[in-house]
Amino acid sequence: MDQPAGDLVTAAVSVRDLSVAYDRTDALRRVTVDVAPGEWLGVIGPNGAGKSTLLRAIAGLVHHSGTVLVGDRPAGGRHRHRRHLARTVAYVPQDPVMPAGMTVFEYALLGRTAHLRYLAVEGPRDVHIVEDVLVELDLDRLADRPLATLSGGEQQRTVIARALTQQAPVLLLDEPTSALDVGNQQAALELVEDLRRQWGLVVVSAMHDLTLAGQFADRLLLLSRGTAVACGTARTVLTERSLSEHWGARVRVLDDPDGGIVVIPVRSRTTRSAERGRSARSAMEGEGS
Amino acid sequence: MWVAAGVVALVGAAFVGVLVGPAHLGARGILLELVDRLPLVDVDSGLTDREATILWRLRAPRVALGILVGATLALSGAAYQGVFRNPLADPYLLGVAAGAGLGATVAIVYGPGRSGGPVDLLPLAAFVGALVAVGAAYGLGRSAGTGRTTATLILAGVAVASFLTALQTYVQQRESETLREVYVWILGRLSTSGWGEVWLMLPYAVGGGVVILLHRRLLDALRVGEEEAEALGVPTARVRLIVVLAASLATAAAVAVSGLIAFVGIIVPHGVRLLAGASYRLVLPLSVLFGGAFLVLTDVAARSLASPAELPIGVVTAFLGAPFFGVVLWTSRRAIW
Repeated sequence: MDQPAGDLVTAAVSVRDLSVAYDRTDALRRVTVDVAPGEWLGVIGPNGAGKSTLLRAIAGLVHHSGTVLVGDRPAGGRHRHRRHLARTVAYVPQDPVMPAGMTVFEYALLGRTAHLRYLAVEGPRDVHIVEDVLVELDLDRLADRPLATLSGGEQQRTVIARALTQQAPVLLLDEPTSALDVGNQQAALELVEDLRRQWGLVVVSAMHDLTLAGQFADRLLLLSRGTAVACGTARTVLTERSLSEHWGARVRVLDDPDGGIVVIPVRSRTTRSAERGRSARSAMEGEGS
Repeated sequence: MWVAAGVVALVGAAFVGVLVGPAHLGARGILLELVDRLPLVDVDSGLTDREATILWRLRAPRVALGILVGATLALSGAAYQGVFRNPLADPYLLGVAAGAGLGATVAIVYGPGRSGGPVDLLPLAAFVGALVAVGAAYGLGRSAGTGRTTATLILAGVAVASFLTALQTYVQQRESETLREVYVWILGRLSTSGWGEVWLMLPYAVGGGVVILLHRRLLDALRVGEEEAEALGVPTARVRLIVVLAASLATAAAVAVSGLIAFVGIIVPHGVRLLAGASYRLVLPLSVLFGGAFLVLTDVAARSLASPAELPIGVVTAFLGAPFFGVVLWTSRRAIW
């Protein structure tokens, strides 16, 4: 399997004062964050916080002010750098379009677009790269299956396969596990982790499940209403106070014996007597320690 | 494999096209006559001079024009469906044909005469009309389209087509001298005298067709939607502009020589998708082959059904196409493509 192009292996992402407005409402306000080579940055935040917008801006898909540098190139230049950017950044949207009649192989082949001149068609080298990726992701026996016949986990792997055939050193994943059951969520994230280690990819992923985000990402960026309010390890970002403040959620943050943290929602009782709340809380603490 | 089937269908249809007609020529005579035309081959076909003239001056150009027009309309339909990501897009429904019709009518009525100058104005006028129409339909559909639904673009196309058809009728009725010429042309016909129309259309059809075929990979990439295609590195605006220009040019040339022939751009690409799948790498070349075959056979039907009179071919394609359109509408919920 070919490594991502040599001069780009060190590419990291540098975001400075990034602001994005949709129809005059601000989706992101002056966000600044750096992603180191080989790092996995998890982007978290309540619905509408701007997680997807941040990823789309890094992928060069929205107009923005401020600068986004991917490697040493700006992500903004709409058309001229389109292909170059796609060789540097592979973007997996939350809800990818999967044309029903398209096969797994054809879909993964689309990732080669960035490496082809305008009217060129794929050559044997491109086919070879796609075949390698499909083997790597255990999709080779599904190569000729139409996308519509795949299970949710298989579809997710197929989308990741397309991103990998792009051979971009930066992988952007928008809610990569949102449509999957718990087993497939773990499988998908572990796959991303393996690939990251194997090829030194930079991963930036928007994530909903805070426990999984804390387990897999090196650092978490917490967005709330378009601004970056915290950035650091899971332990520093995910506190009961920040969850209550930004999500309006009642949660317990517990230590995982393996070293991470676990975020557990606390059910509100129909009668909100302080007595019951306190007893529930102490019961949870009893179990957790 | 499907390409081979398409070639067989095209050759078969072409042969039926030259075989069927009021004067009986005989399959053997035609075959020998064709062989005789090959370089370095000289055989006696047994056809009389008069029969050979019928074959070469009447039937062969008509078949060639049918292939050219059918292939062009089918390929353009597939191309519009690809760039607009819309299974119902068709030169006719987008208003492109109506725009080309208006342009051509203006050229016939006010122009210097069909063979006045060194360059025939008709295809160019039709091209301008076609571009105005597709631009208006797309602009209207986009500004009105809150959700990017299939229906908005088609509704916009229907509105544009109605408006342009009204203008076209107005222009046509004002000049009684050319009324009959315009009217016969508007119904859609392949009747020709000689090869003039074939040569007139050929450069536009080949040029537009080649450009569309070169975009087959990019049209496949567009199937995942505009934003994802951009993220994959496709310059979507450029692809859309070039393919729409090419398809409109080719459509305009077809309309200029044959009038308004509806639904070929829907029937053929969808039939091809049912047979061979939805990849544009197959849909585009197969639309060329089966589109040519389809229109030649339709023309045979148009000539034979009401013999010795001739039905306008546009009537026959609409008769087949409208029900087919309903079927596409019904099945596109289940998204074969």
